[in-house]
Amino acid sequence: MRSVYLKLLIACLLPLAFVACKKEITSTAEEKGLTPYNLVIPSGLPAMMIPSDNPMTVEGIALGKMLFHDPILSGNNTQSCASCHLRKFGFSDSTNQFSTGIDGVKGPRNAMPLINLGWATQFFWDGGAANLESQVVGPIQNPLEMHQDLAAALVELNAHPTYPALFKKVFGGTQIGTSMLMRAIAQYERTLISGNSRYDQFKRGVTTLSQSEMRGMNLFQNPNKGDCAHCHTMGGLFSDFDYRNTGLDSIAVDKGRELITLKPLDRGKFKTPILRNIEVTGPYMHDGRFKTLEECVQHYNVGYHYTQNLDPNLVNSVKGRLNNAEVQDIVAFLKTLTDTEFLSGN
Amino acid sequence: MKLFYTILAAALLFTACKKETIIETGTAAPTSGNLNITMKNMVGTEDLVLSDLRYTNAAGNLYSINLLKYYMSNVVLHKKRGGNVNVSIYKLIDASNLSTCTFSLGNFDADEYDSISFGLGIDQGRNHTGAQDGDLDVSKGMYWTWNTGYIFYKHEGQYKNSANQLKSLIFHLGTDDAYSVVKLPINLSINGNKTMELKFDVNSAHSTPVNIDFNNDNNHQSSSSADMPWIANMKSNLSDAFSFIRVL
Repeated sequence: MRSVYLKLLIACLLPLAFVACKKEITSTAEEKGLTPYNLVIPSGLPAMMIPSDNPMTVEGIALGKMLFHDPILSGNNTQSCASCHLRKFGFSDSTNQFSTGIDGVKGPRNAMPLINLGWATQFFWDGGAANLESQVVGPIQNPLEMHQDLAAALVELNAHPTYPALFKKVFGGTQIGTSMLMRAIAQYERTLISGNSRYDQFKRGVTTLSQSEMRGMNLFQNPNKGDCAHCHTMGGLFSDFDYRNTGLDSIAVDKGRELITLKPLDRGKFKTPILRNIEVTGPYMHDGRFKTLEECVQHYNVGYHYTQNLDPNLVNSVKGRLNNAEVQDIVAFLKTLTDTEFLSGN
Repeated sequence: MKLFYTILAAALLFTACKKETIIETGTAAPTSGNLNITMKNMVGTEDLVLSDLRYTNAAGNLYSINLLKYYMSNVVLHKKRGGNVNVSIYKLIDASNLSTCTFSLGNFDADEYDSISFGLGIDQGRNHTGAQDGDLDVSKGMYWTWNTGYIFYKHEGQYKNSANQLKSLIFHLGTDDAYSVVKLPINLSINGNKTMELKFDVNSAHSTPVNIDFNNDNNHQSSSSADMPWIANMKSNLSDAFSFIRVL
């Protein structure tokens, strides 16, 4: 009998040994009364890496979405992130070549679409933001965009009737801090997933593509023709997230990646943009110089300059390798990447 | 069997939360103490006075310092008898706020320490991580939002150029290439709480070993390949601009 009691005693004490240090273990979303977000990845897209210090929760995403659409983050409370990133344009700025900031001044680059950001490795056209959380504070502080001092934004948020409670619920703490703002918006941005275009449906075998679209898809991948997939990789993402000088100018007007690495070899290089919903994200290129997809394809066909740092793939390409019908076929294929479900979401 | 369970339970209970330091009792002399660092920001032999056009560098430029901020990180104390104590810390020193110039490195064993090393700036592993708190909070004005990373050292002020005109000085030092490790000889015995004073000499940062003339270098924000030579010069100058004063 005594042995049974002893075992019972030990059975009760054993868990103590393990819970005694529990405070050192990061509490899970459920323990904080939060609902873990069920991230659904469409078939055809790879797994998304979520940073361990910013797990996605339903509450965190809702807060991020609220902040994304709230002009409180701009210097004079007139513009939100959503002012220049509109869903129906793939979260780009309608047909504007350059966006106008709160002071009425236009920036030097085309507003990027916000699609499938959870797979990207660096952000902005030159990759200056090392991660999605860091990207958040760029446009808020940029004098040509939302032109707000971060410390001032935090004062406003902390004095707001509803934000302090929402932040406390998601992130704990007594004050809203910059890192919380960065994490909340990044959580929301990771949910902007597009993976149900006609191309995706074709890959799943539930729809067919026209003959022109099929020809376009082959030309897109053919290294002696479009050679687009060299950088806009197939497999769902349509970008290798690398930086290249595509010969837009004989002398680069915008130094691009060089502004980040400070290396002259990176002059005029910009990130390979993803191509999903490209039909509605124009105008195109980092400076929005091309209004149509035909102009873009023709640039890679005949238009590029043999500039310093020109990407070796273009150096070795033959100009005029696509005829007009082939250009049209590639454009037809690009339009199969339009995801109407994504663009009409809320 | 009973004995086995008892020992198992006892062992689990008492080892689970083993503290890192064991406090010995009954000895007369303190066996450890807290160490504070106080940074004395100076120009030559003078304590720094902000916003006063009163300093002359080795190149003969009259200049002022309106703003001076820098990061100290990853402190290592080296024991005289061998061995190191590493302190993971990211500390922003702001010359306009004396409370930032004294900070605790924590508790140290009683011992003799003969040198200190620390990073000037933020190491590559931490420089691009984004959402951080405390002194690394990106709202502290030491962070580039277009190019994720910290400004390691910021000096803004004015100088008189060779035509005797008052011009602005803007020095924002950063990028992974700019990170330097400073190592200084010190004379520190921990036998209770101590405060160690270290000196940072702004004039030295502009003159030793590379003499910088503000007529040529007056606006560097680590944002262009043209800034690279200046970054390299500042890196070697800053490594040499700190010194040990005393222990209180």
